[in-house]
Amino acid sequence: MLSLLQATPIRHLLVDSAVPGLADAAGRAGLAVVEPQTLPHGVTLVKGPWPGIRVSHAGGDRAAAGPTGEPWVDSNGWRIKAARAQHPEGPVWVDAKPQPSRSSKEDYTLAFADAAAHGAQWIIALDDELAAGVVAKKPEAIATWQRIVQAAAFFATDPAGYNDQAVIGVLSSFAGPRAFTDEVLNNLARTRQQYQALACQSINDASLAGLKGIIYTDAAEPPANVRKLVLDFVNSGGMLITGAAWGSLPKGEAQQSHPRFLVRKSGNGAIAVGATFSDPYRVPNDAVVLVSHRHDIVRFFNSGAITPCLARSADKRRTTLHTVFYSLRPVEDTSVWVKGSYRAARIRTCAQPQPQNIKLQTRDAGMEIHLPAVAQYAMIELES
Amino acid sequence: MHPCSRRQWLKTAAAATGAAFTDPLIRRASSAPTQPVAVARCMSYGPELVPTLDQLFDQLGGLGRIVKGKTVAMKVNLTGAPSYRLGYLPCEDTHYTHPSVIAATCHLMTKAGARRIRLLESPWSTADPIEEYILQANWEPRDILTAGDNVEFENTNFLGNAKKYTRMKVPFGGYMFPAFDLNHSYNDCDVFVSLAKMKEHATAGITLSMKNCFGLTPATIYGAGAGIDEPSILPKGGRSLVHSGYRQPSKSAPSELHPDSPRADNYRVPRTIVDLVSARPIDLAIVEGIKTMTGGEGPWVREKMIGVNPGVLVAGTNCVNTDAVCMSIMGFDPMADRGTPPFERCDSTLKLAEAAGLGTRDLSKIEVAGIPVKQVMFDFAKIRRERRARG
Repeated sequence: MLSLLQATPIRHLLVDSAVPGLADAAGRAGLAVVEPQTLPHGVTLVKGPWPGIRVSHAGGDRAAAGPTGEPWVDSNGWRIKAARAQHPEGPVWVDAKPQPSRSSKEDYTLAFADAAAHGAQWIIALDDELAAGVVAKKPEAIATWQRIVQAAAFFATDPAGYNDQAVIGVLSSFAGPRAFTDEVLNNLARTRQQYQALACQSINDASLAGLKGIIYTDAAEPPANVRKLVLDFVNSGGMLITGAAWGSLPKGEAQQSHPRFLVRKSGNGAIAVGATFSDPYRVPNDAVVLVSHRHDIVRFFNSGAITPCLARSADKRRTTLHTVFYSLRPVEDTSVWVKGSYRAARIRTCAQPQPQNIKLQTRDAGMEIHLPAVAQYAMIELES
Repeated sequence: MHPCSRRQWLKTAAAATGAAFTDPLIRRASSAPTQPVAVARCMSYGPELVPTLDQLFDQLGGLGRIVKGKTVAMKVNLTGAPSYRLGYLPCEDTHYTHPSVIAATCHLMTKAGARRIRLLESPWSTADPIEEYILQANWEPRDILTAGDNVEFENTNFLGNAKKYTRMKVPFGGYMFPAFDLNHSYNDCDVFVSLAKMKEHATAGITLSMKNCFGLTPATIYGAGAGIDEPSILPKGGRSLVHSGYRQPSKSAPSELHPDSPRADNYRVPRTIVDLVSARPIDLAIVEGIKTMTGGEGPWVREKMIGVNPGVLVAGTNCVNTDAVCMSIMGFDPMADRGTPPFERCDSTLKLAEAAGLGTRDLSKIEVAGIPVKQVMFDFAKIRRERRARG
């Protein structure tokens, strides 16, 4: 079976426990065998659900709706972002096992895309039926496997060295009870605002670059160095959104300019303190408005259920917009607006891996792009 | 030869007139008021817009007589989520009132002496500020807020800035509701303006200055997620409650007059619209048809829809008269009844409004100022026929 992995971008075999002789055979095929407890140095493993639009518990093929009435999307994006915040140096691998009811070749593409768009790699895992079919060399199963290999190759070419672009950061120590922080991240992702996770342990000036707001989600006061860094951020024009746990606040009168937050000016920025800061749905949705859509860096139109992730090269000359489309059918008439000025744009999709030039139209402080019909994933490369 | 003699005709006519006057609604219809309606050609949202609008208002006797020294509340049309477009076209070129028209109207109202202008809408399923809503459509709120003096937005889909909802009664008693509990902004004004988009409508046939006011109703009371006893704090979903009548509004608000009436949107929506524009009379109706769409009120309608450029602006101080002229410009007969385009499957809001005494829809009684209807006609009706013939 190892022959199936030859001439593919797959370099590791993750096994639950050691299999006699496998390591030698894999080594001869250029593969390394690893176990969950002996992952390669620096790798962080994220366990999560099979990504996609959640199917209703009532059965059938109806999508389950979230609190907004929109389809409820299971994505591992926020888990990956949280892992990358805590372990910024190493790669993140995503362990998401296929659901038997959602195991089409499009679902497998989504699994790759959901991880790759957020800067991680999906650990390929086949559903039992497909695995049995591949072992039995059934033509249909082999065809699906080849599609998976093609997708692995496509997502393996993602250029490294890009920095995530975000409007809002979620700051936490990620220690102790994490349910609130996790759900804030999860729900913030659903607002489509560009966000990133920030770990108190590794936060620095560079990690706050470009942000307009920070949500501090811990139940205890932050360490002194973190407090100073965040207050500097606020004084230079940013907004801190938090609860009473933040501790002491700058002097001055607070205004009830938001129904659930008292907003206090501080330097050129502001601190918004929630009277009750415990609803993980309302907090991120309120944060998006408190910070304001004025600072949006990406806006999508007619996209359906998506997660967009904007990243920029260190020299700021290249920007990439990774977008996961969770509908299994192609999405049509989608437009995207990206803040900033660009002179060229190209699009890559799984169906069209070679970059294709795509027209840019100036619109206010950004550029608008009309996408062709696209399914599961698109990467738009923008040149400044 | 005429089939009946003059004496017979006089007897029949007298009987019919007598019968009509026994029905108070028909009595009101026969005396429904009429005011001039101004029509102008305006092909773009460019430099021609402000002078054209200015002239349009002059043809109604000037904006000053309506707004000078007054607080103006202006309901705009921002139906559907700002991320929902017809193809690649911006919302304002198809189903939203265009921001340039909103800004130009604010500018002219300030120039005419308006003390304060409040821009109102109950946007889809949110209590967020309107400014935040329109930013997501790629609009710049400052372009509107700075177009006049004391211009502000208020989201009327919930309680908003007030401590309680304002109860507004339907003076003629109402077809569906005797009164509505609305955001305070619809009462806290001297002048109410409906600034609508010229469109067809899947449920009501057409959407013009009157149908624009369907959005007066806060979803916290009249929406899918409305509270049962009291209004919900935040709006959720659309107004399916009013559309289908599957339940009553929050018990704190007046309930339906006739709970045994048809639970069909094509019966309920036109009547509710008339109740609303009777409870909150429109002092100035402005309908924008510079760029719009055919086939429905928004991209979600299951018709083959296209963006079009009729290049027309219409304004009047009587909403029924204004909508009647608009219908005529669209190629429809404002006297059309249920079963006739655009009311193939619904009751005519105009007929119901006329019967309630709000204004006449009879073009022979309406003075049209500015450009004659024939010169600005954009035949939505023909496009509708051809679309439906294709299936």
